[in-house]
Amino acid sequence: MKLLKYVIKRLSWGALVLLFVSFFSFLIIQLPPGDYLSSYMARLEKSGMSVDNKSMVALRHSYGLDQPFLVQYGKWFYRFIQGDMGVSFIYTEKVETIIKERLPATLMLSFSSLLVIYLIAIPVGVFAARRQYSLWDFLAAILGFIGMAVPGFLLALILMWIAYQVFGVSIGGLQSPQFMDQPMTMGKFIDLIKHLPVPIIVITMSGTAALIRTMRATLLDELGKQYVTTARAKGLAENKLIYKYPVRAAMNPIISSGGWLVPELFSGETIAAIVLGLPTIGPILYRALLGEDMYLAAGCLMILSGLTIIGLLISDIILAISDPRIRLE
Amino acid sequence: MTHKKDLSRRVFLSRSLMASANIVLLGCISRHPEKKSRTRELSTAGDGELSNQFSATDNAVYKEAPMLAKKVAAGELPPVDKRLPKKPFIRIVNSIGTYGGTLYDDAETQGGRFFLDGALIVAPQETDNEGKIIIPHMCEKVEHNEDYTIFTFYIREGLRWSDGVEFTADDIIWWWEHEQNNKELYPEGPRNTWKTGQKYAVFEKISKWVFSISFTGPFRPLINMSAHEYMSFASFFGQPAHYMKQFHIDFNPKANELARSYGYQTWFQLYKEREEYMRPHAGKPNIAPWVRISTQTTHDVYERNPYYAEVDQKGNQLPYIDKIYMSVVEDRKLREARVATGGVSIGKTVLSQIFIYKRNEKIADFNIKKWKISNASECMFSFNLNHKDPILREIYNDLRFRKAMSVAINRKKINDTLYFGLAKECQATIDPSVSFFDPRWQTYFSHYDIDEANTLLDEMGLKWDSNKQYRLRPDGKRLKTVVLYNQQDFQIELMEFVRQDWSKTGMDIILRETDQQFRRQRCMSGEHDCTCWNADSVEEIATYLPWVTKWNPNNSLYYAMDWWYWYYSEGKDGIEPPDIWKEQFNTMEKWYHAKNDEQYQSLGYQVWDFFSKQLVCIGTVGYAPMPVVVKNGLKNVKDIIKMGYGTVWAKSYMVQTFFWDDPDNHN
Repeated sequence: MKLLKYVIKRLSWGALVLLFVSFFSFLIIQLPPGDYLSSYMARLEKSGMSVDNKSMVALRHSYGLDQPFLVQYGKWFYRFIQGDMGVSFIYTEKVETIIKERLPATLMLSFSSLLVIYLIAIPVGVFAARRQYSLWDFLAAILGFIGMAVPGFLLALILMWIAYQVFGVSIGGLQSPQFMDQPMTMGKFIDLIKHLPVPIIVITMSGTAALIRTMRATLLDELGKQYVTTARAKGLAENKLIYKYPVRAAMNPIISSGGWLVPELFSGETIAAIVLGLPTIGPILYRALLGEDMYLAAGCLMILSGLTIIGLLISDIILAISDPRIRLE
Repeated sequence: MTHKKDLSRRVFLSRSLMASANIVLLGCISRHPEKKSRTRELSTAGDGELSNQFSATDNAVYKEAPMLAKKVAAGELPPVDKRLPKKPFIRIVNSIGTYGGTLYDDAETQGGRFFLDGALIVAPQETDNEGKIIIPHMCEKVEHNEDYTIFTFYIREGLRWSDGVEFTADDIIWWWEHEQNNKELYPEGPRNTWKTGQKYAVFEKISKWVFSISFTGPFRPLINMSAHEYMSFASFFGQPAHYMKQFHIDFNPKANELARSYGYQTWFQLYKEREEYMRPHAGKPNIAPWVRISTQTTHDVYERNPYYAEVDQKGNQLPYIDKIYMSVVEDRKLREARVATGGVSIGKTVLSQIFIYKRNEKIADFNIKKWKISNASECMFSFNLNHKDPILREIYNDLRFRKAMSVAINRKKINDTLYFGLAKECQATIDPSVSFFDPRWQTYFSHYDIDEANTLLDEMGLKWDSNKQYRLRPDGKRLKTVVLYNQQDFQIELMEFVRQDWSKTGMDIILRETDQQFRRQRCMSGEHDCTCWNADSVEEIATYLPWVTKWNPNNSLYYAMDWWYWYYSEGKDGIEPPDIWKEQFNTMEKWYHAKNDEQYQSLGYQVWDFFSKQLVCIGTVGYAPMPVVVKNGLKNVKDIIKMGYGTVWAKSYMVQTFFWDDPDNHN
């Protein structure tokens, strides 16, 4: 009962946050001078074409860009709460369709990356903390810092090149072109598996490195506490001691930051996703912002914010379950 | 068998004869009345002969792709001779191809430009690779009267949209009456190109397959426009009335509801989306070799148009290749990497990294062809003649200053260092193939002489500062120039070379790279010192598309926006230009409305002589190599091609004639 009340309370706050997000994202998209059409004209010019003023007036009228900001926002918001996210200028497609098309790959990549991050970072962090200042600890530290410092897009290019030269994996995307638009077969699945490692390594690299450091630091804090010394003095087996008490306590910050990881994976992978040519939401959002395609950008931002709010809520609930000391108030 | 072969050869011969009879040499050959009547005689003779053959043959003459033959057998499509117009366009190919296979290409955005995209648009006429000769394409012939006021287009009889509906004069009239002249779609009316004097052109249907466009005064560029697919006004040849009707409120009372179901609010928003001619919506009927069948944010798929009105000399319907698969690859480096690793069937390289492609030739299974790009200058510079600062304005307007800047550029060094010495060191001007070209324009102040540059600047009274490092403006401040640029295809190192050369004359040059949108906005409002752009659209056909040339003051280099506003608004806005410029604008206007060949030649010469001698655009090096990688097994790809805007880039390499020697391995 308490939990339900808490969830409802959090969700209603979330809705309010979304309202603010929508207003500010709409505002920020419109802040730079010009609008979608001026960026469209710039693109046309770059490809050597010319558009006269009359056609521009016609387009501006048809897109409703000649209206004041608040009217544009109000109209958009009124339709948004009815579930209509409008049409993207760039893709001339319903925003809903675009997001639906991109969401599965985005979710698949994000959650498999999340899993990989946890599977690597937690054991390595524990290992490094238990053997503090050993060779392995320094090695983990060095690797961790490299992982945090190497820019993802650079790593992506290098890894793709290696994958191509050594394993013959085609460059860019999650699938070889001949398998696109084909029903799932064994060949297609193997092709997908072949393409996955590079994006996952690139996306998880910095997240893993950061988490190793967090895990190590919090566990070291716990290991120095008196209850650990007491338990050890009472003769508790070392492994049982470590995993049952300090590790569990040290996990708390990781669980509570799990919610933040979701948007980070969505947006943090944007640059890597562009370089890798991944069919995720990040590149779409990036293009929408560059092209001042406000409906698409606002749609993407709303989805990302929504996911973040839900992610944070879930991580808070898990935290409460895993650590009885924490109460939902 | 021999009988059939013989037939097709006869068909081919008679038609190619007709095609050549219809050729119009732009500018060079005048169309005298007696010549025209000969053309007509020839074609009528051809007509009679052909219609006899057609009644006798049916399926025998034309052959089609197995993919379509299957559909015909299943009853989904009419047979090939029913799909083609009476007289399809005959394309002479080097080798007769094999049907099937897929072409792979990448684009920056969904629906954006890609290397093969020129193959996806067709127009009433087309040009050769030099952009000089215009021949009828989707129209059988295009005629005009003596003084270029009435143009008659003869659509190929029986031409069909990709959904099988006939393409007739009604489609063109639809575009003009219900689209261009609809107040919701075009609140300010059709674009000014369709105006001569104060009056709009008149579009008239003459018969089912014939329509005419008449102007109140001469408008010769219409010939060029009808042969240039990229010109957005070529869209008069691209709207399928039967399809567009469903989105138009005058024809479908439920058009608003339909628009809402697509996420729009009113009918004209959806109509605008479907109107797009360059990148037609999937499912919109088209007359191009391939039509888009599916659109996703990650890739587009184009499939052969079963009704494409072009055959090879043996009567095989083109294109040979079944599909084009276009992946969306947003990142430039990734696109380059994909080309370098054989990810695309054909793609352009980065010249400075040619060794990478060369090294990959074997592993990525491609070969490199040495194509050329017909940009008269990879990058040309122009100073803002309407600068807001009166002192800079005076300096930039001094011809001696522009001469000095031009001779200060060491073009040989740029060529040798960045282009392996393969580009041409010349002044930026139109292509040498243009009929009124003067070779002196290319060499005008294009030599390298720092001393001469310094003498010119000294003459202007621009003094050095005490360290003899920078020159000073008359008011004692340092002469500083910001070059606003946006990276296009040229090699970015070129900018640094020019900066160094100019610094030797005491110029304080600051290079500032910006986003294209920002550059455009800054320059359009005249808030820049200097900017640069490539010199494309220099072929004969492109130089004569109204106001498209890069030398136009409001196009891409924006060197005199205020003068242009003044001229465009007939003196209401902007700043009055000096007399020589007023005269130049008038000459250009007269040129676009030249009454005969003599006027076309002499006014054209005047226009370009002025631009060249004024050095408004200072050239560096031009006609650079543009090597392309072509997957092994892709045939009918020409070894050398000069491509450019005038020849609609990709159009010039005739993608519809490409084929795979082993199509089954390229699906």
